[in-house]
Amino acid sequence: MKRFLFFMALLCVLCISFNSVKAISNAELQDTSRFEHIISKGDTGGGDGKYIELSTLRDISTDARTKSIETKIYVVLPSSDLIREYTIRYDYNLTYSFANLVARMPEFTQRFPDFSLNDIWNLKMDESGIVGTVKAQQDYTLNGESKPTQPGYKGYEHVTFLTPTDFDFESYHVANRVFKKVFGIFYDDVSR
Amino acid sequence: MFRKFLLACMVLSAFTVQTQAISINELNGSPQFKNVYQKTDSYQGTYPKDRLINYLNTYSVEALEYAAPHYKLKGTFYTVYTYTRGTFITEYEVTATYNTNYSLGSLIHASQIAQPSPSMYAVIKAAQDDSGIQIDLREVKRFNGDGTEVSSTVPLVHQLRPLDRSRSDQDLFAIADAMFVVAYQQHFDDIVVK
Repeated sequence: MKRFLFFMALLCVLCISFNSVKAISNAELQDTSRFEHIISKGDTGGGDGKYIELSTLRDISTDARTKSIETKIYVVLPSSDLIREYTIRYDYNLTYSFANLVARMPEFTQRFPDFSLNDIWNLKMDESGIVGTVKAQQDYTLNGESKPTQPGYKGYEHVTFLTPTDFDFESYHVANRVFKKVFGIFYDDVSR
Repeated sequence: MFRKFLLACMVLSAFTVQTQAISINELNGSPQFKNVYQKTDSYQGTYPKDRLINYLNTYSVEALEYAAPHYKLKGTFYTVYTYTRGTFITEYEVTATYNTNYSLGSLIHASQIAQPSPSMYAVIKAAQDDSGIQIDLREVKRFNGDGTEVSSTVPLVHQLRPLDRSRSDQDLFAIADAMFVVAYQQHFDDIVVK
């Protein structure tokens, strides 16, 4: 029993130290060698923003038609004393990149004589081509102390600061930016 | 004599009211009304589906200004809302001002000649910043599905604003584009200003 208690205590210490190593503060996020600040339309100008942790960007693609990236992005909300860390996976369907759809315009007009460039815009509105999936999230204070992660509202669990990545959402531009960091080109500039 | 005059006025006014009223059957049955946009909102649970359809009165479209790349068109359209409690129709009058420098065709062309490597992503950003279309939207009348006018104390909508290329303005963008097609036989976004 004593041994069991000792191991449990050791496990707790390890967990706490592990968490404290991973914790991130707002001051650390300003280190441009480690993080890239994304300036978004939706920012209030009060110091909020999104930061990509550059060392976590990973190309995990397994399919030629779909590029996949996993990374960590931090969303800072100073008014709520909150840094929310997202581990997120993005899947990019290359067939739906804007450049690819525009390049296929002659094919579309041949098949559908009334097809317009506006139909491409509406296609993107129906299916942006990017799917963002939050794999994990963790909350910190601005000073970098862990705080309990608030569960999403019932029925809105899929809505986060980074998802869904609909074409007319700011989160779509974040995903495009992440693609450029890994592949050197915006997703919507890819033509197959 | 005066009674005859009054009687004639009553008959005329009744006739006028009848011709101005619009019913769901007329919108669906007459070729002058074109269904240009429809959306069904599906709610989970016990709520049934709500539906919205926009019909453009294609005979109403008139050109107010033509000074390419700037165009101004006016027209009338009807929005049919179908809820569980019934069908309602709203008549709108819209004046749309177009700048074809911001059509997708023009933005793509400008991108292709301005840079050695054209950026379609930059086209998206530019189109989202400015759609190229402004609208002056006025709600005119409200009807029940059978065409009888609804009297309401709720003020009629009047908006003067740029259109956004987002889901929230997708219905009005479809109306503005359909008006452009009626007037010029071409979609707004297919115009290329060189």
